[in-house]
Amino acid sequence: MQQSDEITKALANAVSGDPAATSALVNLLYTELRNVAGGILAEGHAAPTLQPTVLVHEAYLRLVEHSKLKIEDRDHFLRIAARAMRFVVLDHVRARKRDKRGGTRERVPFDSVIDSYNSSEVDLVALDEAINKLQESDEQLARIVELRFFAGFTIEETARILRVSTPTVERGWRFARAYLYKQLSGG
Amino acid sequence: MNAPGQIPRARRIFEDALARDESERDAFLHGACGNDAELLGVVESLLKIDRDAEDSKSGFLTPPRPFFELELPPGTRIGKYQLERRIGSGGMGAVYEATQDHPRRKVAVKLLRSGIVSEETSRRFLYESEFLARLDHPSVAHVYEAGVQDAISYFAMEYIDNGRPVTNYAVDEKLDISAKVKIMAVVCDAVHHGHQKGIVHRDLKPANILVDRAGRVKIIDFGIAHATAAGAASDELQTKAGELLGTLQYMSPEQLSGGAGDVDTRVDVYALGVVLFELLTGRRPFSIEGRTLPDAIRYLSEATAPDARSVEPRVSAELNWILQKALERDRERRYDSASELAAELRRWLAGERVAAGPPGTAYRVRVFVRKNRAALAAAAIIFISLLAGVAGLWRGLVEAKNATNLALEKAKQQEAMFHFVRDMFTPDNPGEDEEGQTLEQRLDAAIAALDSAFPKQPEIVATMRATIGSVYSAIGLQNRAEPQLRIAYDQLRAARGDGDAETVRAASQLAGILRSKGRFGEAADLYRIAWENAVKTTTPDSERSRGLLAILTAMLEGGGRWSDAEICQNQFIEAQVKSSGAISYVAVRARTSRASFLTYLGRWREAAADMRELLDLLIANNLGEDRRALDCRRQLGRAMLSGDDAAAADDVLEKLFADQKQFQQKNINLRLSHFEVTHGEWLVARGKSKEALPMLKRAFEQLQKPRGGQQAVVAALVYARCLRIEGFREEAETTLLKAADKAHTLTGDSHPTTLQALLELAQLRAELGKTAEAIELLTTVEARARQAGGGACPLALAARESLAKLPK
Repeated sequence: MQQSDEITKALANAVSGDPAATSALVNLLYTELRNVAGGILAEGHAAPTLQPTVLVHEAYLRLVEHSKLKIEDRDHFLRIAARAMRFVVLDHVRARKRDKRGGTRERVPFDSVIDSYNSSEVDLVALDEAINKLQESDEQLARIVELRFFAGFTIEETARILRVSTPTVERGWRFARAYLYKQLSGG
Repeated sequence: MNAPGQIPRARRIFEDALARDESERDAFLHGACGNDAELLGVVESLLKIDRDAEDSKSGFLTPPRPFFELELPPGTRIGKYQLERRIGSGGMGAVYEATQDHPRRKVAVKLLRSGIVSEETSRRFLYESEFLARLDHPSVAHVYEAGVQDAISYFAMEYIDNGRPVTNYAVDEKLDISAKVKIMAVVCDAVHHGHQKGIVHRDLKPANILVDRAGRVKIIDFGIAHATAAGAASDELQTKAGELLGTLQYMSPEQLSGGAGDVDTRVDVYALGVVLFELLTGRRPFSIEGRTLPDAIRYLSEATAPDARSVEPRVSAELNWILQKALERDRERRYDSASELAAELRRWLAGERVAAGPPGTAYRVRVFVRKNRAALAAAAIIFISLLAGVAGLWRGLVEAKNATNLALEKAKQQEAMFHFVRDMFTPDNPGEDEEGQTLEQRLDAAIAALDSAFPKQPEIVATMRATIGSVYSAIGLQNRAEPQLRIAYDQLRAARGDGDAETVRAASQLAGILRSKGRFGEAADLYRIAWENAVKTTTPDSERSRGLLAILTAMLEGGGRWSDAEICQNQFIEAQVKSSGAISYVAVRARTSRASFLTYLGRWREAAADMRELLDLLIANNLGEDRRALDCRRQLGRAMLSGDDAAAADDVLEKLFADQKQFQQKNINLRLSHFEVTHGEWLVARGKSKEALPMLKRAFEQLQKPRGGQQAVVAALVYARCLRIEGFREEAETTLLKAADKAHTLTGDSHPTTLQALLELAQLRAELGKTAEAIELLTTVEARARQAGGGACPLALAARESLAKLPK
């Protein structure tokens, strides 16, 4: 209850455009997503049914559904949750890379979440850097990638969350995807 | 592409190019890029990458499957099917009614959300799906085809005309217990057919067990969960959280905890048990309402199925054994197959002996161990929460001591606590029989050791004591729990005040125990502490605050503190109105029950006025024909009936029952028995008890179900009054005795309903010549009513009046 209040408050500040509040919210969500993942994936608990999208949804249910959030705030939350998801995934991938250099490493529950991003063997760390670069000249494209790829929203959902038209997201997504592919393949 | 401004330019040209026809693109690009050869090269390469990506040649940045389910507009063609209309959303995606060209027929097409990416996964999906077409049973919906188009995988299946989930069908058709069992035997046959073909359903639930227009069972989605998993990009099953929760309750423990490899036909036997339980009792064996996903999974993996007869007494003992056997946590103890379960159900239908039996001695021993283990697990969980409480203690210490001392103190305390808990849960001698010492004995020993384990640390002792009290309570030892919680509560309160979280926790625990023992008045004080705390930590209108306020009100009413109860009741109504509006069901219900309470206290004028006001409000909101308005008018009628204007009361009630008949014809959902009771009450009051008798008998019997609640008491009261007037005095006495008993445990010994029941019982006994018993009862009623509502309240007056008529 208390944490949910904290989130509602942070969200209200973030919506009003306070950048510090946004990063505080990302931090809160980061913790929460990890907790949710840890809880669901704790050994022996239905690991095969876990999806990144479920994680975001579950975090949403746990944190904000019971507070009185307006629809706009809900979308704002999802936007930020997508970014938090990106950070969670990336931190985990970096940690995994570090550990591999240090020798053998046991598989942890969170690995199965990461696997579902890795179906096409993308180097997630390089991807993250490329997204950062993209963001410098086009913020919207970075948001689209986060929502589509990291949080698994459809084109239509992404459009609704970002308050832009579906064709805008569709075209922007295709550009961003091509651009990122080109960056990653050294082009 | 790193020059500043290049990305936005490239994006603009790229997007414009997308909007053009392939044939025009080259010319457009050259025009748009002008002399910038580098930019031209970049955009051209991006467009090529895009074309490849659109053709699904690379899986680059394929999202980890969409969040919400796939939906296509009607009219879309997929494979050889034209989607007509969306008929539901089952299993993993939307289901459409669709038309097939050759042969021309209606089919159901189910779209799956999983984005199949590679050829490999697509092949696996189609391969697994081929098995499904082999199913051929009249009670299994046929799978015609599985296909993949545009990265959407789909199934075409037999269309089931007006298929209703089996649980809805049973309610709609008012099936009796044997009819329900008969249907489930057919369901079991169908599931067994699948098993013989090597297919486990994995997702049996009422929504997948349909009954069609002709009353035929049709199981849908057989094996689809598995085929879909095979086709998914990884072997994870696509599910969204809400949907998962709906399905979880039918999942066996091994499904919840194990990997996909650990699933065999017995998961279906378990799910059939859950469905049968739901069908017979109207409830699922496990409720996960209000739990988060991880919590729900944990709970479902550990909970043991409740006794079906405690939910629905009409379930026979044999059926309950069958349910328990199907719902065994350990699959080795379940029915081996669905056909075995079917045979068992048919034995029960034929009145033969069933194979499942009452728990035998050996079994009971195992249950004991299991229960004990469960309790140990519960205890361990509670102890984890205890650590949080102790962390709170340390915060308090910071102010008192300097940092070095604190660190030392903390380390010492922590060590002592861990030792204490460890000693508590490990047997003294490792070699000793594990069952040698029960949890109860261990807890007793722990209590005795508390003071010496934590010398001069009263707060830790108190917190520990409260925790152990909670564990006692959790394993059903309320008599042990009460004194420990009482001591702990007093100590915590003295040390940390009423507002402290630990104090509140102990208070709520203790209140629950007192309430279960019928000591409502004492419970009220503790619930008040919990409520005040909830108001402070949340808001006065939060769900938690309102819930506690409702309990508090009930405790005060039943505990004989009526003026306090009234204040709380008013606050409760205010909070309900604020949180869900004045005309919401909850707010209306809260107000009608206040009117009922006031009527008992003789304040029928206030009750009637309030009901009139509420009625006007409902009418103003176009709810004059709603159930709420009728409930409101019924309460108005009851208030008037106890007033002094008979003609006005008759007027109100006459119109009410005329309207009620009309409502019934329109099939508007009313609680019919409640109206019958009021109708009967009216007739009895007007001297037409003969006419009222059959109506009251029916309502009384209808309300004797376990969840009849306070209405059941009122029904019994009025029915008994009618019996008494009609000369069936002995039957009236038994009915009243039962009513008084029920009222006592349900609403408290000083609740107006309880006192009314006792009053009428006393009056009847006086009539029967049992003068001494009548005097004793009347004295009790008089004293309690005076204490609760003052000497002038109608119940006290009536008791005194009756006493005066009796010989001393």
